[in-house]
Amino acid sequence: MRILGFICVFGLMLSCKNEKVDEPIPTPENQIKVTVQPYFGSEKLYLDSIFTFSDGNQIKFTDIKFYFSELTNDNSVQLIDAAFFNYRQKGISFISKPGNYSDFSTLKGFLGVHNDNHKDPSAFPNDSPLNIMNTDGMHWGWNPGYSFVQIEAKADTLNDGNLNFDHTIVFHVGTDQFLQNVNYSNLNWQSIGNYTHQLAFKLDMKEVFEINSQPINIKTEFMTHSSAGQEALSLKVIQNFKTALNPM
Amino acid sequence: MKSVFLLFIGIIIFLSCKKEKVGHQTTPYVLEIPSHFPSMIIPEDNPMTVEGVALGRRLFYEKMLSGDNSMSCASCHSPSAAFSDTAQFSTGIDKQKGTRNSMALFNLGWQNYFFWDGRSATLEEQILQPVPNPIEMHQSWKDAVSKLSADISYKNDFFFAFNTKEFDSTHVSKAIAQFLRTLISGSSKYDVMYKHSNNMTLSTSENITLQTVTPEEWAGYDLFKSLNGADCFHCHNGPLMQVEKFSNNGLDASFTDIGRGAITNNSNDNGKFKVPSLRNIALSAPYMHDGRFQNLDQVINHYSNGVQQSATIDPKMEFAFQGGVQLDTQQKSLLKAFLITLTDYEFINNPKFKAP
Repeated sequence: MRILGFICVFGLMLSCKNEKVDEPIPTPENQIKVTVQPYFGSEKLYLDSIFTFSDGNQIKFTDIKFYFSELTNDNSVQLIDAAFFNYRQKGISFISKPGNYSDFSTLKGFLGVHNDNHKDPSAFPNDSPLNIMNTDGMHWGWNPGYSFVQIEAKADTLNDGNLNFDHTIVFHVGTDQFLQNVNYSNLNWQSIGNYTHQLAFKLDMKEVFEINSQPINIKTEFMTHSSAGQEALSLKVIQNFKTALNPM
Repeated sequence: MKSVFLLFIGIIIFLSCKKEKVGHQTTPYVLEIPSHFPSMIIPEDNPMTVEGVALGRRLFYEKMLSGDNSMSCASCHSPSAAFSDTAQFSTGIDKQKGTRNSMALFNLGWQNYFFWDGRSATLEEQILQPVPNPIEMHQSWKDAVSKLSADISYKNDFFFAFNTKEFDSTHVSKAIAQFLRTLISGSSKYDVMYKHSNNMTLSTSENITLQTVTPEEWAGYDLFKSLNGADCFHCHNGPLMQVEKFSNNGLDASFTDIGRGAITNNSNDNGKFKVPSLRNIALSAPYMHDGRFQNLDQVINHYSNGVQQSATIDPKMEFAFQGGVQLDTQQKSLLKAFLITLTDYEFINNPKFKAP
């Protein structure tokens, strides 16, 4: 009878399901987000919508894209090696990664692609914004490298009351000579919950064209691919773009 | 007492037995990706296997997938035409025709949108559409699977590929997707030109090919890339010869087929269609979403001086205001010479891609 009892206990032990032991809750990882909100003056800018310049010319933006590279704080702690803003495909989202916002009260780096500009665009990891599959037309071939800023739009410059957006604006600025340094300080990171802090940039596209120091006349300055002979407009576009892009 | 004891022993043995899953172990398939291509992202729920690729190849050429057993995928995607159709519009089993030209099939593992309007986001999803389409293969998936299930060799093939005795349309699409992902085209004369231009190491055979590139082909390549020349480069570049996006390339001033706009319900997308790769372009006539151009000369003429303005025309069609890029006769000839270098004979003649 004792043997029977022993067997019963033994059988019960073997037939018991392994109960899952609760694992310790991992400490949440801090997250960093950077957004870029395009504006046209004080209005939020939406692609394919009509906006009016001070001179009455009207414009519909169809694409706004740019690269930042080698963003670090003042102590060379890297935030990210490259980031790609693509308003049509990704909206205002720019950077999203684990990190501690308090490490980045300042940021410096490049508007454009610096060290990686002439590397094999197929060789970057699949999740890299520099991988050829993720560039959405921002790569020109290895010699010229990446396009740093692309602005595409259609304008109506006739001011005759009829909407006719047949004036194409294509600003494709790249090549090493147009690379721009960027430097931002006193950054205002905001907590948005879930251990995430966000830094918001404002990109004022009206300022890109109407900046006092070097305005762009879209009737005569409407196309550049950074080729020979297009240096002046290329430089103007990327400098104005840099000026118009600021942390909020 | 003894019988009770034996009963308990039996129960214990029964309970303590681990369930061993009996099944077939698949063999991983290693893709041959050209050195100048990015890596291919394979869906986690459809890993590449030797068995799956072999089954997919068989299914691609399988006429039982059509209602009257007269058509397979290959009927509208012929290997000799870079897996496209030489007809402007393909004819289905009921002699009905569609309104769009069959797209060429290669390098599909690097695509994020399928069909001219991009209505499918995955290859597996795209494959599910032609079988039940009334103007194409016109057969329910239930009937298609029933026919395949009646064939013992298919039952075996599905078992070996997916470790299942009961298969359905998702297994069919997964197998065909695996086969289609092997259709990699990266061995044309253009590839050698691309690699040479970018200082990549060439193999012995590639060096021999490089010596055969004519001055006209190089000049055509320069023209292709020139932003003040043919300006093709904006939408067709890189190892895939394509920027994957939707674009209105100025075919019409008004649209009978609104393309991407019908999918997004956004009028800003009207008249836009997926930008195709130009690889094997000399083999995949007719051209454009509606197959309106019969040959490369007509295509070049369109971009040269046939471009139509419309509300959604791509801003990258920078010379639309003058009808196009205005190439002269010699430039057109050089451009055509370059376009022919995109033909990948190794791909077209690869026995692994032909009917088993």
